[in-house]
Amino acid sequence: MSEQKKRFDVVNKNLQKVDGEALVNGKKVFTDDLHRQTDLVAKILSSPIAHGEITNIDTSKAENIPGVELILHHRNVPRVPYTTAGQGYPEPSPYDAYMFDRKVRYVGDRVAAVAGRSWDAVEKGLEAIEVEFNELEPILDPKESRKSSVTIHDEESSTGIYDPQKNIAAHVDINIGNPEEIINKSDIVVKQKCSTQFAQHAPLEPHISVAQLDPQDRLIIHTSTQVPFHVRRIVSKILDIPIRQIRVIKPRVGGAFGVKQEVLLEDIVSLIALRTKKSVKVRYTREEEFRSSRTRHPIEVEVTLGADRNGKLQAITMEALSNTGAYGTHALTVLSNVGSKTLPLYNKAPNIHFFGDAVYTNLPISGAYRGYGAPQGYFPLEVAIDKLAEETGMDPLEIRKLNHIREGETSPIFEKLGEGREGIVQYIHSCKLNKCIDLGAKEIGWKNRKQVKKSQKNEDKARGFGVTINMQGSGIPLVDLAAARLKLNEDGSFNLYVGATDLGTGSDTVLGQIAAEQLGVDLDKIVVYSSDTDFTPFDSGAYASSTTYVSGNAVKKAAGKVKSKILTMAAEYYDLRVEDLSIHEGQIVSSNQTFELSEIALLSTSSKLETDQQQIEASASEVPEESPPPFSAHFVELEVDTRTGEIKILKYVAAVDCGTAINPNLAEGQMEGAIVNGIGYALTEQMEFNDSGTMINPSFFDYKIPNAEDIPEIEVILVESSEPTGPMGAKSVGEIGINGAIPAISNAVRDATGITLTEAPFTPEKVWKKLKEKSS
Amino acid sequence: MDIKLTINEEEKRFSIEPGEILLDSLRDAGYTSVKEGCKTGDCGACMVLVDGKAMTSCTMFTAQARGNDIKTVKGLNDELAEKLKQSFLDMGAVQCGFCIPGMLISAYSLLSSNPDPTKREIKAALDGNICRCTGYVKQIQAIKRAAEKWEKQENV
Amino acid sequence: MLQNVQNYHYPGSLHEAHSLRNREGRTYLIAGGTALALSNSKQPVELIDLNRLQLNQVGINVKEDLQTITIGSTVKIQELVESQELNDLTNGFLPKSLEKIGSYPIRNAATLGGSIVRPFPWSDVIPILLVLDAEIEYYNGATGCQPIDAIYNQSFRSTLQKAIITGIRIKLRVKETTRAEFFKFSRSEFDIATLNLACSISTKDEHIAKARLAVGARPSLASRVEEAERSLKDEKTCKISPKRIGQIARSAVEISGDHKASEEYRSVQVEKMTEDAITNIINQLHNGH
Repeated sequence: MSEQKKRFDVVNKNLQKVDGEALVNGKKVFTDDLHRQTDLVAKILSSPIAHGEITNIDTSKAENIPGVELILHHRNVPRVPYTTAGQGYPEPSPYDAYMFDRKVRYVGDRVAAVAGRSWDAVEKGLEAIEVEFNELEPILDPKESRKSSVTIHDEESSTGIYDPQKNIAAHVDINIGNPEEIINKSDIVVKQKCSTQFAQHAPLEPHISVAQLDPQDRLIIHTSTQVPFHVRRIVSKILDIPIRQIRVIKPRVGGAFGVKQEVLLEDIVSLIALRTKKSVKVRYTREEEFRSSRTRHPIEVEVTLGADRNGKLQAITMEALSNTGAYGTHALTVLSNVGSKTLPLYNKAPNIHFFGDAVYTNLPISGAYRGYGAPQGYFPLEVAIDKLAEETGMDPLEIRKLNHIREGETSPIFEKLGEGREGIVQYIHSCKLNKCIDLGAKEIGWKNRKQVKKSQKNEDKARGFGVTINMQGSGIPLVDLAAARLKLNEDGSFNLYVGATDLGTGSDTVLGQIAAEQLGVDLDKIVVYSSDTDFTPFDSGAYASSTTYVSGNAVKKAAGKVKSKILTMAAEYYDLRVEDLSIHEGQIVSSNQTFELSEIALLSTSSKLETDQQQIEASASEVPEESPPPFSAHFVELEVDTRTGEIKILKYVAAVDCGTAINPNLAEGQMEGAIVNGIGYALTEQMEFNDSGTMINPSFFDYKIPNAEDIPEIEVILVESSEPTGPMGAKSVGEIGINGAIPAISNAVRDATGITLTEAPFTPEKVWKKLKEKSS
Repeated sequence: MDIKLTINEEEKRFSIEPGEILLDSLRDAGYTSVKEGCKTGDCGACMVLVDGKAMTSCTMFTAQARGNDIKTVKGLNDELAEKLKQSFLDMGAVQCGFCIPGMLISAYSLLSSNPDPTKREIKAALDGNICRCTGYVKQIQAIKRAAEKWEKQENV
Repeated sequence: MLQNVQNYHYPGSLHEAHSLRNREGRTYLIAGGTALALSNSKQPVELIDLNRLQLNQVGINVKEDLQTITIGSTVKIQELVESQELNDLTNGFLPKSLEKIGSYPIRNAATLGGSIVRPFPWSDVIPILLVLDAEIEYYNGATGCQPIDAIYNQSFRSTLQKAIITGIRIKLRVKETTRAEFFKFSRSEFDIATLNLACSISTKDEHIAKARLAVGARPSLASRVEEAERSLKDEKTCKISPKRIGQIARSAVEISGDHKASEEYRSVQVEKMTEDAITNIINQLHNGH
């Protein structure tokens, strides 16, 4: 490991974030800071009912309220079917959304928007709009969706829905070998069904978008988004204006985690700006963020494992029922990921059947959320593996080591299951999962766990240890596109332009480090500018854990080209051979001479250079051919109060192989944040609904997110490997950390008490009920 | 109603509605380091120091703050504040940064009255700050480290 | 947040504050103001700021057998949490229990007065003060004082709506040894209680001279569990069975269910918290802590 550390000058270092100073000093960098005052503000009138047709909408009183300038609703906006999903074109999500539709499909759905000169005028305007609904029966249980006589998307104009009559937004069915037959013949069969709940990303900064026209009447959108380029394209489509006329800029974002991989507010602010010719802002309150943004897909997954008596997996079946809510954004791709990010982990089983449906319900819209189907899939899979260990008498670590994928191996799932399309054949080049398991086990004290449990004196408390392993991906092969441009300035500094989207994740810094490393200069020589569709080249956006791996490779390529041009010019100027030159610590180095890079930089645009003055710059694009998975092993030590079912996590250990950690602090930070998010998802977070489909806890008061007192002792271990296809050996680390908490905690509770928790979140009352059932 | 508030040691005039909320008045007056995350007192993004004590500005009326000494993160530039900010940066405790002004306010408030806090006391002082990005691990480390460095300085 | 605030007043005297409180219309008293963040009321209202009335002192008076702690109604809860003096006087009970309220910034603003004037059913302050036999000092033209359980009295509640709470009085008998415990069951650490419980036992010559047990957030406002208190009174501490008291409390408390917890589960928590509180208190008494 120390060899790797010597290999790098800038990468694999805990360098300070390039935006860090501005953030700790509270500078004006977020969208609402930059656009506190706009000509107009706007708010959305949302549906109070879960399912219905708008039979009448009367805005006359609202229009007469002083200060109200424009009201939008289904009768005065273009009717264009689209998907709000921020995905690459052609998006693998149904086109079933409309800016304002004649129907409402969940409590919180759009009915109208009011733009006015003050929040007060706008609020009064909203209250004065008169809407009549023909209420329809809502579907609130995904198990009923396919059988129901109610059709949520009965409109002819929508496309890409798998089976609208049966309310199936998406369907997946991958069959390899003879899984059902093999299971019937297996020595050991384990069946496990688990389900997860509606949970919210709840980034601290709610959604916000601002639009205005520039002097050339181009539409300028400032928005808190993960996908500026998709926003530009989709707004262009909805409003039927050329992409050329639109510029999207992403200021600092206050967290996203997938909820901002959507075109949520940009269409509304754009249309208002175009019609009023004034600047306008829409920003969600926290309540609107809960009710009317996006959520995690609640998914029920049943896994069946067939294994031989030695614990070697022969067949796996996995059936998923995903609740995609009122619209199908990300429905197919999240459903696919339930299998595609989990099943390849246990590639020893040659027979696999993965199938399922994503169904519509009249509930909030599920979308992209960190992990993207993987957490929901790992839950039953990892519980089942533990049960398999019990059946065979093997240690839970041993059974996993026996069955998981190794370097040089592949899985047929990689080829069969892409993101809403066929995948690619893929072999694993880097996998230090065994080391992750061993280091994690040591840190949690796995070997001594039986003694620790026995030494528990308090008869009301039971101690347990749980483990889980997982993988994710790094970008979407053959689909993601990232590009970077790098130019040299006269002082030897560089401007790095990337479309890649920093959500607070630190990608500006990470990409800057990659560029600096490739060039041979310090990070402070790189000025990073990102996510502005006029100035930065294309990037799919920050999702699918793609930024370090895909955008990083684009940056590395561009930097390589620029370095080559610098050295060519230097060779010419200093009369040396270009093969003898390199750049190191900001200097051009040959075998016995060094020159300041800044000298060539200054010369390159100066008339002093008699020939070949030029702007030294280069661009590069990257479309990944693979998606090398990071791997991790998570361990939990916890205590259950057997009287009340209260779970107290004592220690959480995660060891992760993310390839080279470009910035170890940031990589650890991603893991720590994802782990705590996972703990909330496992223990306390749930969106709750009443019988009419209204969310009853749309605030932090009642939707409980872990705070600093809720967290256990957390230890993250970065296990370095080197991914040959990754920039400086890097893979990804943004999502994988959230895959562990639910299964590790469930396994640990079973270790402590013998009960199996199968429904997240594991609230004390749920645990207590199961304990009671077991003892009776 | 017209009132004068003292913000970061500067006296400023405000013309407000009696029921106006301090968070809104501050942001409208340009103190945008004070963030709005929930407006229900639950997330801590809007925290300011009121007479040296960390409070959520979304649960205060602007009129309430008359006569108080209000500080936002911009007004924290003494040695303790600098140590805290640098410690946050060094330890990688800043990701998106939206919670950071509020976190720094809590941390500053804590260390001002308790210069050598235990980990438990640090966690208790952060219990009103939600962070969705970091999981709090590096923030707790950063505060502990800043306290150690500050204490050493104090004792010199 | 509270909307439709008509006026914001800064009275300089108790008398002035009281006059404002007794004008026509609705008035709210502002000490920390945090409780009002939870109100969506749109009715017109006048706000009366109490922070210029010097009700922010903590006084300790020792006279013969009695230690009297007087906490001004606008003293911040966090100040009480950080008070070494109160920690020593109550053997850690008051600071530790008050620290479970809300969050650090909320405690920096919130006050005991604000927690009593219109208590939420999930209030932590009420059960804590109930087991301390606290008294409410108030001004309604003249100074008055009522025991904390007067808040169950409709007429006193009406009095409070037009009065100014000036302080809270806690009396401790020097010749008795008092130990207390407070538990809060909630979904996460910064949360209102799904159920809370306070217990206080005072002993003299190894016998229990006084026992108090209060359960709150049932989901309704805290009340004392007199059956359990009676089972403890006059008993020798070494003869107490925490499990048995837990069972008594469980069957005696009036409990119901809501979306946060079922009735049965709340009962389970009552039993567990009672058992643990009594166990801890007896341990403290026996170990001389």
